[in-house]
Amino acid sequence: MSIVLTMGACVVAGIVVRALRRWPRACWLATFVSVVLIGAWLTFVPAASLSFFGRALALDVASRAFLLALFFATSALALLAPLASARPHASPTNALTDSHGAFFLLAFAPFIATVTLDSFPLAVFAWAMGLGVLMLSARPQSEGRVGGTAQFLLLMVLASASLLLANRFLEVYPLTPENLDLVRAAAIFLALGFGVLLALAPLHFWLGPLADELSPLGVAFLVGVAQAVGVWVLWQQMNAALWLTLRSPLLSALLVGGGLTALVGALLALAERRDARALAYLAMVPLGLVGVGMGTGAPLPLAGALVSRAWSIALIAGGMHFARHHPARHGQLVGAGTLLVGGLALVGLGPFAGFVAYDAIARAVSASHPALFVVLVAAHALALMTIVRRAWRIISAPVESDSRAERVALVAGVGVVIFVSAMLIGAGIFPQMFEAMVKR
Amino acid sequence: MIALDSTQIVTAAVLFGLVVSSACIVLFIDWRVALFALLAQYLCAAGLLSQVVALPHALIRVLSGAFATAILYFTFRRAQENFWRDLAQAEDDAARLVVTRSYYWQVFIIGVPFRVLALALAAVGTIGVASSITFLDIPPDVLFGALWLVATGVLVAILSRAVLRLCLGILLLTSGLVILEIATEGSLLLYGLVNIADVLLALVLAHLAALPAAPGVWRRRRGEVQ
Repeated sequence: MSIVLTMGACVVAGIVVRALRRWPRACWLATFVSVVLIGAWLTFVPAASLSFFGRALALDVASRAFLLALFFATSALALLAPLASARPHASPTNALTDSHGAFFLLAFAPFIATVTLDSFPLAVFAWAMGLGVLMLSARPQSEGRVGGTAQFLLLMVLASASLLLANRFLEVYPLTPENLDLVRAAAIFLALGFGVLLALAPLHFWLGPLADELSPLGVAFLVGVAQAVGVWVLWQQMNAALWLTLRSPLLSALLVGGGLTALVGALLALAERRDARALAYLAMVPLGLVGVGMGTGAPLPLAGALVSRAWSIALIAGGMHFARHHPARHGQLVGAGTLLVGGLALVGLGPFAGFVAYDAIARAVSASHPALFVVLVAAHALALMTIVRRAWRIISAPVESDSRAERVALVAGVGVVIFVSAMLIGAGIFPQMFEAMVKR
Repeated sequence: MIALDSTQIVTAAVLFGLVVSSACIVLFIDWRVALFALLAQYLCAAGLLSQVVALPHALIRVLSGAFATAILYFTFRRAQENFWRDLAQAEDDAARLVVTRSYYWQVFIIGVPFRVLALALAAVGTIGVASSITFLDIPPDVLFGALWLVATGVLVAILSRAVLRLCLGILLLTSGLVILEIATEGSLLLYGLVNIADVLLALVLAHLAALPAAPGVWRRRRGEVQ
């Protein structure tokens, strides 16, 4: 019951934040109170499971740690959203940006179900619902015309159906173990479904058009939180059906797809000028690393890598958000600094949290697939170069004078950024924070 | 001469209804015709579903389809009111022609002859696939109906320029996928959730269609198109 209450709290918080979108300060305060209360509830809630229609929602140690870490990233993004309206002449479109936190909280409710459900098809369904809710925060580029969001919804339906069909093959296979066609069909449908929804190259084609219609914060939630939940579902399924990895080319597909994703993401990010697109492509680099890590089949700290990726992406998006909405000197400096810190954490440099997880994955990959290791190092170097270049562009851009309202928003934003950075560094220096997830 | 029993006649009528209703959505630009066709498609899909689940459960499909259609009806009507307003504000015949063309031309990216051709290709492909493969022991008529809906749904989605028409394509697609899923899985819980998802999809796409475009100034700000 406690899990359902947590989901309900997320929905209520989302509705309240959305209702207060015209009053940025009240919106920020409501978001702050909501995320603190839900975070505390999620930390201390009893771990009793709930059964319904023969299925169960269970919050074990690993699920709770993973959800808490992702909720932390969601909270940071939700708290940064209302800071767009600080300028006295802020445009009406900022009202939509202000309420992004509402959509993040609303979308997080199904993600809780995704992580805690013991049924693969229902988890896939809940994940797709969360992605659908997130699309409410999109802003079309042309009125009434098909854009990236509408195309993504179509792909989401196709990918979800593909995953549900894969589940049927997985269920049927143990009845006829000699029929390897069923395993291959399941692997193909799984690769297609997860490949599309996780934007693994070459199925990442929807990412750019969708990023054009989302804000950097929306993209950060999509690639940082939603994709991490998807990887969790895939990981659970691989653990539940070990014969799937033994008797199908799924691991090879993950190795090749992961390496390709990292390289393509780094190259696309390097050439990109638009914020949201660059963020989406940058996020592909560590996702490729995680994919390669999964492809090795070794027990690696993948959840730690995913969490570090989500927090880093939240920081990068925060930096872009500051640079876009606070054109005064202080805002630009804070934006560039946040972007740089997030970028350093994203590529897994010490002392940030990703260092420990990335190091373990890199060691495993370098031992078994040296060529892929080189590709991953090159991709991360390109990603770092992209981040430094973008930070420099922000600093060297012309600045405007600021107002008192902007300074208040800036202080609030800096508080959020410092907290996320401290968590990233703290988790890097004390990696036992991830122990429960690493053990899993 | 082949003798048909009443079940086969009903199945043939349901499949015929599915083919005609989906074809109407591909071929006709008028949104009222398309919405009626969508509703008819839900009725026929429920008829097909009644072969794999109990009839009361199959009728839930009609209910969720009616909700989705109602959401789309209000959004389409609002879009048309916007069109009449733009037409009234147009100062001369040339401006009125531009408004009319932009309204009618933004439904599909290609004209009727090419849509007929695409529909024929989809029909040939569906018949070819449904008659040559077996898929997890699904009856051939159910497989044909599901694949036809998937094919026409993808076709409408690919050919659409307007979000609302794409929504019709997605709903056709989900209709086909639901039949495939229920015929293979048989989980009533999942069936119920998928029906709810249809309404949610219609809501999200209607919301997208109703939103004004992001202003150029907003898009040109730092970090975006420069």
